[in-house]
Amino acid sequence: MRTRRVAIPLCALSAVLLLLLVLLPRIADSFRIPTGRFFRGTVRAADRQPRIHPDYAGITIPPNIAPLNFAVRETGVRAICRVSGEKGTVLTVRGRGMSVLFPPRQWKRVLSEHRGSEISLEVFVRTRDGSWLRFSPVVNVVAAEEIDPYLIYRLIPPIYNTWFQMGIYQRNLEGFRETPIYAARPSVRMKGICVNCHSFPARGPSLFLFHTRGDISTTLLATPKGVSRVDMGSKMVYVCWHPDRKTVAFSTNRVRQVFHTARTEVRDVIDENSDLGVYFADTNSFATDTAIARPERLETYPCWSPDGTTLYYCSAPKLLDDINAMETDIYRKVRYDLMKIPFDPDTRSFGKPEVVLSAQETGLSILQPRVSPDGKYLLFCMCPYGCFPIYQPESDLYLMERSSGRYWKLPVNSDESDAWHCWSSNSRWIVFSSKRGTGLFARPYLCHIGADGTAGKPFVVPQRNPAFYDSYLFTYNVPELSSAPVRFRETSFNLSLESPPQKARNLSPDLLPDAGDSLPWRNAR
Amino acid sequence: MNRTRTARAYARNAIVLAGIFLYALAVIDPRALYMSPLTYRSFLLGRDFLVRFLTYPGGPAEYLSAFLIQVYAFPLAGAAVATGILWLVFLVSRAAARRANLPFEEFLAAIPFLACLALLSRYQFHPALILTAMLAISLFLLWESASRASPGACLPVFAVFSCAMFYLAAGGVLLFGLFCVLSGCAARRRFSFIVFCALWTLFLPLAAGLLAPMNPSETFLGNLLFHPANLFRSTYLAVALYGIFYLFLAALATVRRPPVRPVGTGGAFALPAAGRRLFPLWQTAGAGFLLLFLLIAPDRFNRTGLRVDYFADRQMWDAVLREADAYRKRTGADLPSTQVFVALCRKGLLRENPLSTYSQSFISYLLKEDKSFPPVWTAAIWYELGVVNEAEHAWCEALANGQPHPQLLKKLVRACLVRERTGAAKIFLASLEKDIVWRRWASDYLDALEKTGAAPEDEIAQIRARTLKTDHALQVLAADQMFLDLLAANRQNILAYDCLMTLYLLAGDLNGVVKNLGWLGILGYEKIPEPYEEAIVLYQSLTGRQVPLADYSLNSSTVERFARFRNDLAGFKGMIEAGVADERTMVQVLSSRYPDSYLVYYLSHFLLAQHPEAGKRPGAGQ
Repeated sequence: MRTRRVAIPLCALSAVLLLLLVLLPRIADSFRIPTGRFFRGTVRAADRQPRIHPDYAGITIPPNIAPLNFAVRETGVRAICRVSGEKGTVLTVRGRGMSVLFPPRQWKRVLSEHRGSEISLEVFVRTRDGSWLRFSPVVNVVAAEEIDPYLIYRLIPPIYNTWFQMGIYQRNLEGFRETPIYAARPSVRMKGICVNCHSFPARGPSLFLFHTRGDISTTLLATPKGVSRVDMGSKMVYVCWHPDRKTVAFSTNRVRQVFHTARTEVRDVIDENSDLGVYFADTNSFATDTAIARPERLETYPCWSPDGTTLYYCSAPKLLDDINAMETDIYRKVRYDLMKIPFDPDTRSFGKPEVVLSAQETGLSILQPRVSPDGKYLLFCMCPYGCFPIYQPESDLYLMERSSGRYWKLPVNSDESDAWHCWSSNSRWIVFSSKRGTGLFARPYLCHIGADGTAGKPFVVPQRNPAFYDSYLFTYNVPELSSAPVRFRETSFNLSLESPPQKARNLSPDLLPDAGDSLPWRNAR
Repeated sequence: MNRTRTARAYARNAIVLAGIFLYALAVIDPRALYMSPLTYRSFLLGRDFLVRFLTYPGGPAEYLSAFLIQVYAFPLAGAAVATGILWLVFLVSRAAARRANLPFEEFLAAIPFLACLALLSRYQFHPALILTAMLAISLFLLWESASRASPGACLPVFAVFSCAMFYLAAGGVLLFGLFCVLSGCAARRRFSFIVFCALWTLFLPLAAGLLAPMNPSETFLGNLLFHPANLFRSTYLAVALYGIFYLFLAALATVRRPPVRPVGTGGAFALPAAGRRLFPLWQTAGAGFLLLFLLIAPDRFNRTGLRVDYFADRQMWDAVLREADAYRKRTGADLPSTQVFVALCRKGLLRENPLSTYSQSFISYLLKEDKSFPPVWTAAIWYELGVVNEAEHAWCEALANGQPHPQLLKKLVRACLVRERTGAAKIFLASLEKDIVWRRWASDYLDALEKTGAAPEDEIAQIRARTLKTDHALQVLAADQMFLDLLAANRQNILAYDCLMTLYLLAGDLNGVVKNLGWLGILGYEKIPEPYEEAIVLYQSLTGRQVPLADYSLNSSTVERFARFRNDLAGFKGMIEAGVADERTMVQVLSSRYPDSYLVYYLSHFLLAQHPEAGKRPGAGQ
């Protein structure tokens, strides 16, 4: 009996040891890096860089970015990646098949050790005949400056008019975790609401604001004191927080959507009317000025300068009274100028507007101005006409030096729409939505901007699975970088939606148009 | 003797199961279930998809349900799954009835079984809901057994089971909790136990809502049969009824002690001793009732429509037309499915089917409705016409509004490829590669795209050849101009011509009909379709002008019919003037004398005094 008790475990242990002895060499083999010295099989050199997907070759990366996992798009059975830097080989990763997935902690260590210098990614591919193919190294630069660790965006299906599910999410760029801030799902009580462009001041989401439409049209304002519901009618569309964290510039737009019969991008958006206003969170009131709410002009896309003394916006002549005028194609002639107007935060009054860049000069419509936090540059996009660049495949990003007014087209653009851009808090990184490669689904792209305004090669926000974007049927809308996570809970937003709203005082009732439920997008139910 | 009875019971079970299987296979057709938008849930292979379901309560049940639904795409396997679920319902119901010590347990168990069969017949068979109910009842029975065996373990077992129930099937915890509370009341357990059960059941979702970002009310009600959205639909009334039945069982479960069962009894649909004496009558009556029920229960209209969707999805156009013909023979009307219209187009049968109900429906939509929100049924027609932008619009609306059904994704693949947006097509194909049923199709398609850069289907090039070349905003583009542009882009676009002529006919624009007769020769019409002939004779009569017909001629029967129509009309006008008849009666009589005639339509819509369009001369639209 005692013998049996000892014998069985002993046998089991022996079997395990035997198995290990047999398998260990094979396992060790597969971990060996083909240096040619102790590897069975030949190593051939391929005189080119490997095709990797996503394209993370030749980019400048933040030192705090999540692992740039990629798949090797070469013919083979397994890939190995060796990361080298100033300190020699620092990391070797055996791929899962042809996918290279970097261990997060080691990746972080590599980047922090090589901050401000280059790293080289050498890819080896084992072919079916057992030999190895060694590709030319991919060299990336690890920037000295970090990127804001959080990215907040709206995830929506490729919406035309109706939708069922959408939400605002935040992603930790130092890892892969994505959490919902507010997922607007239909529920028992609510058929559904649309969540508008979200906004928070100066990269700090201790204040958070977004607008809802549908069953409940309201503005949700989240502050450290809690989430409250502000009743402004259906005023807010595009918003921007003032650096004083009390004032919010917003546009109110009467939007119409049209559909093309033969254009690459089917959808198009026109503003039948739009004006700007400012909301004062401390007094729960909103107002405007005749300069930014002219009846014969369309004003939209407000953006404050970092010192809060200037409001940038876009303005176009109102050529289209109603949608039926579209048969004359006049909507193709609507082009926006880039404007600025001084603002006195103490008196909360505006000065005289002036043109920064005219559509007549560029021949294009200038949209979505975003000033860098250091105040040096102004990032905007231009497209052939209209007010909705994400629906214009020709939309491209431009950078303007504020001091000189000189502007140039960034080399980050693609053949598809590039828009919805945002700066990081240190003015060294931008994020933007790009429909490159698909024309239908926008993905978030990061790009380094040097102090002299030179732009690096853009790269898509990394995902744990390199093939994630290949089959993802949602589009990334309005990506915004944030230095901290949004800590407001979804339940807080839900509860506030059902609470009585605080009616905001309209200090300029004659000036701001009643946009009503003017957005054409609606819940399917 | 016992062995004989057991063998007989097994044989009876096998016959019943075989009957259900054949019913599901031949009558219900699992493929129709697969295509039903009411029951379909997308299921993708891969860890990411699984993890998504494991992160919220009810996710596992929904994941399993989504997987089971995919099986319906394969008829035999689908029928087996449906049979299996129904059998599970019967077994669990019977176990609950036995525990409650009720007589006629098999007959009682047949009630929810039949309710689920009714759901299956109505193509609203949600595995998640049924599995949730079964799990709740099964866990309740287990808890009840454990409580009897060890009364001290009652509360901890309840807590553990309720947590498991909540995670696995969300709202099923409410059902489980209700059963336990009722059981506690019936067994006169301590009041604190009952309060604990009730509070725990309510507290669980709230606690989950604090720990994880989820809406407590949604998780609480998810997968629940008694969801307010479900309860008041008539088709779910049966489900609600059998849910109440289970509550009744739960209440009795602890009141009555389990019976001492004689050895050898049991088996499905076995009769109690009293019934066995009437064995032939009961069984025959029961079987007859069941057969009658099964014959009248299936939703044949839904089945036909879903089967047509299935065949159209696989481009089996002959099968589509067969279903449509069978429907017409059965009901005397056209099957209201756009796929039939597409089948007519693909099989080159539009010439023989002018002014069809399909083209009329489409034109009515174009004439009357705001085109900002195209219904999904118009998408296939837009696609066939060559206005692929609008087809993509309608399909993307469907995608944004619901499940990424593989048939929808395939359509979007084709639409994107026609519009040369290969990148977007690859996204849809990559998503399809994770689908159990369509992964191979998608994989082959992607390989072909990678290797040749072109789609492996002729259809893409054919549709691309029909697309519009000049861009307009659809909302302001006149419909007839759009059809003319389509014909200008491709002179063989017979669907565009068919729609154009339907548009003119429905709008009473006889001038437009006459002006575009030249296309008949270009499009290979052997003769002038009858509605067009009637429009021509009307035009000639009203304007006094002869219409040049080139190589065509009017059918003498049309000319004669028109002569008779005029005589009848003159007669009626006299009667109307004399006050003997009115216009409505005249139209009714003429409709019956000249069924499906354009003459009556034109008369009633454009010539009669009470019609707002009355008095308009032909060609007023020009």
